[in-house]
Amino acid sequence: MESLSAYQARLEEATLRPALRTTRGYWWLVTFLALVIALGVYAWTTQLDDGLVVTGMRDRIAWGLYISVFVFFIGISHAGTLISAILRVTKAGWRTPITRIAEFITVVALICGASLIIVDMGRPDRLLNVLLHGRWQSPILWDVLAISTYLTASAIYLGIPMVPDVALFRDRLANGASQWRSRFYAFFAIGWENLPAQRKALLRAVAVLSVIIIPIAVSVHTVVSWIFGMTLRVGWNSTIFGLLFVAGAIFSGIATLVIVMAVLRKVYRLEEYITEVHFVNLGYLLAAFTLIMMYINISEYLTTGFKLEEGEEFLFRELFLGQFAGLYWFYFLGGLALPGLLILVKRTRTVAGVVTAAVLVDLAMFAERYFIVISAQRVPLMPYEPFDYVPTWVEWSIFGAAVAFFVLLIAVFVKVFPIMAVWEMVEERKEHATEPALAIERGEH
Amino acid sequence: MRLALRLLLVAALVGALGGGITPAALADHLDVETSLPDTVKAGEIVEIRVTVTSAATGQRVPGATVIADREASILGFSGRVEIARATANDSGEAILRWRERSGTTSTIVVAYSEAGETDLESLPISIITVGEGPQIVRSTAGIQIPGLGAWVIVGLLVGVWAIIQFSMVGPVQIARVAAVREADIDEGSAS
Repeated sequence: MESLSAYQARLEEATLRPALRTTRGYWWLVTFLALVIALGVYAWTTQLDDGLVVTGMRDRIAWGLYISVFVFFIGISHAGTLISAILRVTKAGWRTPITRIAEFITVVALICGASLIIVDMGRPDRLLNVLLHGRWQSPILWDVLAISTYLTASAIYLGIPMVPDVALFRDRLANGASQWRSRFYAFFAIGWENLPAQRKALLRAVAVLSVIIIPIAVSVHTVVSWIFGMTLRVGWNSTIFGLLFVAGAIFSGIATLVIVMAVLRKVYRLEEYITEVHFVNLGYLLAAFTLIMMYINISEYLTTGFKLEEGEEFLFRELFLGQFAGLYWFYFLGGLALPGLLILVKRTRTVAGVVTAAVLVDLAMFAERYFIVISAQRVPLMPYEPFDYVPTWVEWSIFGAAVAFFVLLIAVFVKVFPIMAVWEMVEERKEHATEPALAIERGEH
Repeated sequence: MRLALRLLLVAALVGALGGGITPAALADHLDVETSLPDTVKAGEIVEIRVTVTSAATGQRVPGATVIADREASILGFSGRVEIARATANDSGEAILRWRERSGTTSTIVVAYSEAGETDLESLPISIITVGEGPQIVRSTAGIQIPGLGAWVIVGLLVGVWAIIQFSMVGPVQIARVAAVREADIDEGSAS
């Protein structure tokens, strides 16, 4: 069996590889993403100049694509929480190669999601008024507080376990890296020398954070759901909205993690570390969540549909047979039933099968966020014609820019920071190494 | 003779048409007495007892319909809005009841008719509402659970942020250990 030191050396090389080599394809990707972001910035300046009238939103449908994408991004930010925190607390060893990616998705998705709230504001210059004149009774204020708390905690949770690996970059890139890069790594490595006292402090901080971040993450998406649930509207008057949103968030978070993992694995040849086991294990989680989501959906719609109060009938017609039927049935059949089958059938339970399921889940969850936000606002509150909301080029451009920004941040991250938790993977390997292997390591044979 | 017949026919037609389009005069044959509260607070239930009697005989009129409405406007549309309706009991008494949502003085019209009649007679009455100033809607006060309030959110937030800050002790300790070690090395090399 391969010695631990040899494994560690290869692992370090694999982790350093993205930071050392930059292909032409990478720069093409960055250029393309920058152009998409530039178009989004132009669209936003148009909106700032002319007002929200350049969007498809009006008084009857005042929350549109921006809020749908905001909810979607906050949802996928749960990837880091579930994979990293829950699996860390439960000591699931297989998590180690994918925790870093998951934690970074969390931070990036939160930044993108929070930015969309600012874009949605007609007067972003009044943003601070939420804090200066906010009311404790308002779910909007709760949302601001929950998201900012989660973003802070997630950034720390990403940063602290990364210290030993940043120290690795500091040491290994000492001669080859530019001066600013050396200083950058030296600053974030905070003097890490792998001393026993440092390890103790690190493990204690990670343990505290991995416990506290779970309720914070759950509270974030619960509070996001309350923005809708506490508004008096048909379609949003639900007591299980919190549950639906949290489950959906974890669901789409896992799917996004699978997609990002697959891309990085392919591009940086990480097949040895991110194996089919990781995809299949995450696939099982996805399959479990397809069932949970189906259960919540049926429970939600059956109870309201059985009573079918005034307004609900209109909503149900729109949702199941009318304007939103395409999106709804794609969500339920294409995003819940089909991914579940892809994973449960042994023949398709492969890397490709799980990635296909993950793509379907993400598309479906985006569709779900969209019809939850829009369809309820279409129900007339007074005797007027239902309003048809169609996003304009400004909204689509900003949406594209948000997605491009998300991808760009990940692309930059993999060039700057270690994409795998080397020290945790070595620890994991050490724990599971057999005695003969350790004997070889010690030179006892 | 023929001319006389034609004139008679035209007169009959005009009469018939005129009768059809002219509104029937309001029959002024009922009286009402109302019991008004002195003042009403916005959000309170208003109760007005109306006694309907026949103007001719002074007898109570059971089964009479009594309606209260007031002038209102919403989203640029104005008109009279019915706020309560009741039917007189055997004693000719009806109770109009509604929740007052306006914080200003307003005139409410009580309209009434005998059972089976469509013509309404009306009586304007004035309701003076006092409270926390003009407002359109006033929600109920809600349920006050002792000990539950905004401070719970503040406390929760402070607790969570304290734990997050506590986790930052880790990096501080890591940096301090490194600094102490560096100082020891410097000291060793100096000596």
